[in-house]
Amino acid sequence: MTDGIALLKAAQKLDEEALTAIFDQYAPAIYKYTLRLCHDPIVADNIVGDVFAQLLEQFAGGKGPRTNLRSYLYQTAYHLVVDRSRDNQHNAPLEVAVGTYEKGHFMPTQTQIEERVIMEALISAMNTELTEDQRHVIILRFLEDFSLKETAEIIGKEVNNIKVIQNRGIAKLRKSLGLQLEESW
Amino acid sequence: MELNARDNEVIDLLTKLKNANVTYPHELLALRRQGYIKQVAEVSAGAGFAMALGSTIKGGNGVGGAPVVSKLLEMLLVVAIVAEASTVAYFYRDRLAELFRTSSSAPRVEEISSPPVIESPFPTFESTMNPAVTQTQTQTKTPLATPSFQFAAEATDQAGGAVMEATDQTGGVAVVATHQGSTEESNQTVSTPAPSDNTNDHSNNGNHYGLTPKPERTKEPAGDNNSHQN
Repeated sequence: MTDGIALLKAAQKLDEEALTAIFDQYAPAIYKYTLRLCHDPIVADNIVGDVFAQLLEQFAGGKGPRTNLRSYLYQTAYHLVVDRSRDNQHNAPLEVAVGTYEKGHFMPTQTQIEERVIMEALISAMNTELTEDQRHVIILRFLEDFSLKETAEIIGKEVNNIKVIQNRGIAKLRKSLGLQLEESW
Repeated sequence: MELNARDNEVIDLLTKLKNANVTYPHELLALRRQGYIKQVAEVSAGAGFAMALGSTIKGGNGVGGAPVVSKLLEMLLVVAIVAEASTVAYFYRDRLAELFRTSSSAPRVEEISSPPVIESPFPTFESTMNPAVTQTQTQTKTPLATPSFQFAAEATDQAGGAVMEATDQTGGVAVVATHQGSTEESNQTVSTPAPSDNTNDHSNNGNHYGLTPKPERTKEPAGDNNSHQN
């Protein structure tokens, strides 16, 4: 944590090494998060570029995050994704995650096949059943390991509201998975 | 709203999904990193220049290039002032325009009063030129009007106002009006001679309604005619 704060303070002074270290540390995670939301690797890469360009602008203007850099970067990415999805009017499916999940399994076992079916059902439910807010909250909470408070900061809502959104999303997923799994078996 | 056991199953599945191996493609990452480092260098260079400026302003005992820096600073200040003034003028342009209008109110009145007064007489002059003159010349061919061709022309001149008024309505009426003017004039010259002072001349007693036939007198058989003797 102290390293993170020291890094942040150095970055605020526009130290080149600190700024490069921040990119190396967070760019892959932001890319992964963005790719889960926007489905397109090129768009995800562009959003990563925009996130770090905005960070630089903020630091150059004497602004930017003071404490939680990770939350700040995810928040910026979240807003960029939301803006793009409004412009392009397409949702952010998680198909890319499925593709990468399958990699490395040359001879799948029975358990792996079953797991894959469940995963596909889960991803499908996330794309079709959840609202945009529910999808964002669940990704941030369970795929990116943010706390309720951090998720609330990123999305710009109250913690209690985030709790409600999360529980409703999980309930929807459970219901959908139950139905889909019953249908498949 | 608490999570139950079946919800935990979903959360476990989500955790497995989290471990899905999504990686940043190396080519894309390398290009993005290169671009970012370039941006960082630019921003750092700009920040260094700003810091040098700041130290010059604060300390006053700058390095050898201090006069150059002060000139540059002056130019920057002038540019900033001009930009600010133009921005303010742009934002308050409506108020400024009102101010100019109120300060110079005279042209406003001229603009309103002048145009309608000038325009009105011209079309009536133009319209009277064409049909009125030609038609009166043709009408003078009649035997009554030929000796008084000049009178007819004068009549059209005199009756000019009436013609103009008539031509405002229809051209055909204008022709009739001029024709009437000329014939009345010619009739007046023929039918109404100047009244004579001779009391015996009863043929012209100044009565302009002279066209009326004379009343026939019945002579008395005794030949008493006192009026003629006086």
